[in-house]
Amino acid sequence: MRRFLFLFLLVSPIFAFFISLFIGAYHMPMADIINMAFLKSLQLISGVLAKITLGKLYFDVQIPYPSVYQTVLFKIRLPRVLLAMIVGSALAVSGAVLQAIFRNPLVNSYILGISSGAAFGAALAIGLSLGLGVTPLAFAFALLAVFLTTSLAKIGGRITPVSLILAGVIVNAFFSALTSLLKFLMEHEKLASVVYWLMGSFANADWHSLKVAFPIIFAGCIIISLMRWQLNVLSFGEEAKLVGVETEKLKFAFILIVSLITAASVAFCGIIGWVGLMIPHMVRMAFGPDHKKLIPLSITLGASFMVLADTLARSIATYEIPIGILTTLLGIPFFAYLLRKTGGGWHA
Amino acid sequence: MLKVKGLSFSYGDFSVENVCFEVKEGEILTLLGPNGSGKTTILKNVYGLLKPKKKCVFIDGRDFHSLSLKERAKLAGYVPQSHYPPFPYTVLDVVVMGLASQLSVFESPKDEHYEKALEKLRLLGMERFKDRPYTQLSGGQLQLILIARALVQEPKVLLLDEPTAHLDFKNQVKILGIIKKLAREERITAILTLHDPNLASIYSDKIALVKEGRIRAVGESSEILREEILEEVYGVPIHILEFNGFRVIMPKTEVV
Repeated sequence: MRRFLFLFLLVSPIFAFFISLFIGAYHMPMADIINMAFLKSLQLISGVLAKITLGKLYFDVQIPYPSVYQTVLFKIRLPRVLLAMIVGSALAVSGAVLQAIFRNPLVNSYILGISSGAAFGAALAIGLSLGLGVTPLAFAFALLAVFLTTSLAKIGGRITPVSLILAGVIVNAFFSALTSLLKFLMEHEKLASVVYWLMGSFANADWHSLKVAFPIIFAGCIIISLMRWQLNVLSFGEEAKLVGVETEKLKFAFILIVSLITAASVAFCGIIGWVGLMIPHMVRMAFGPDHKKLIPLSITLGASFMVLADTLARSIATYEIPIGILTTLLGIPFFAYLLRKTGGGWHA
Repeated sequence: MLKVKGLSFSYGDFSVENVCFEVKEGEILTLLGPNGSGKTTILKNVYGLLKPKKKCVFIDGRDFHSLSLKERAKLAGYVPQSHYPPFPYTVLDVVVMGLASQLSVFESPKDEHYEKALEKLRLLGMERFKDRPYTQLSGGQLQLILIARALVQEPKVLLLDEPTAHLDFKNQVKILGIIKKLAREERITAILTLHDPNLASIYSDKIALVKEGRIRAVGESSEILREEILEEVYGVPIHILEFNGFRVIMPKTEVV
């Protein structure tokens, strides 16, 4: 039974992907979507073949559907679904990694200051009407915040769990104050878009955002997966040195990867809470704390959860609900139930 | 086999000065002394978890601290005073972590590695605990698991920090008996810290008496465990009785 659930969760993103592709504000029959997806794949394959064989077209594929169908499916819905999936993976796996290396089950990537740094960057770009500058500035300030937090936390060459959390609080407070100041000085229309961005949303997803976010997050998840067993050892703290693990170097590598993938997520979709905390806990409660299982399952369950939550966010009402609000509202009751039922699963 | 030559270390007001001793292969040396005398500090310095002022630890003539953590872990196992990790790993998962020094950072343990870990659990009679959460073990069981984790490293040297702390009499005897057996049968060289002079007398080949960060005396148990030396180290009046060739150390009390 547990084995079945394990395999099911591992492949769940595939199901989640199709479910969310079929659902949306613009209604299209399921058969048409499958047909279009099939034809589009053929078209892409023929395109690739043509490139390889220098322009010789083996078969020409036409997609006999209205162009609005194609635009909705391929330009709006597909990139959005894919972005939600990789962002879900990134946030969930980041939470799992940080909880292990800081030996603290309540940590997620936002305590490093990433969210408030990114929020400030985005607010700055919106405030200065930089248009396309929102993503790069959010990204830059997210990384700056992580750098500030870790260097502030480093005392005598070492980062302790407590110093890191305190440094995170300081950096978060600093950037939050700056963001508030910006909001205070801003005009009303701009203020609205800052507030909306802060609530988190995939509404602006397009192929461009995927092109930037996907390689970073994909590579990050692969490296973390390969190194996942080290997290078991690292969660023993200083004891890890006794079995021959260079704890400081390894922690640094993990923090760097986690910062990059979180910043890549936050920059495109704003701040989406609870996923990094909730998903790893859910997996741990069902399958135990071994990172050999925890990391792959966090990646896949994170993807499935986020894309389904986003599908809800864009389809339960006539207007879109910010997904950050939805993940929190969905997550909290479930989390509370599991907490009461299992007693937490991270202590004796 | 293992030689410590002039180990000095200081941290704040506390310092360890000029510690010297030597252990042969398959021997057990006990660092014995009152609370706060610096036994654990010396042990951590020997492994290099704390940095002594100069190079001073040699195993088979090689400077031990010039080795990487990985190489050190292959040569010497360190059994720390147990504390719980934040997550309830199973016993087998904990023991297999001893193999970290033999795996690259991109590797996870495979069946053969779990088999090695099981073998050590079997050796210590703990195989049936393999799927138990580590956080639900008793003090004695925990100590055995940590020893198993160190043994998985296939070390020549075993350093044990207070292996009998918080254990009842039966478990104290059991753990020390196992260490003795490992020294005799597997030719493992062991350095441990203990509180109880009687246990030290029964189980060690050599004793180093530690007082205020200095070695007060070091040598064969029979030479070291003398009333005047122990009285000076512990600061209480002491009687020594002979029984079956063992020395029994008793406090002098007026009440009895």
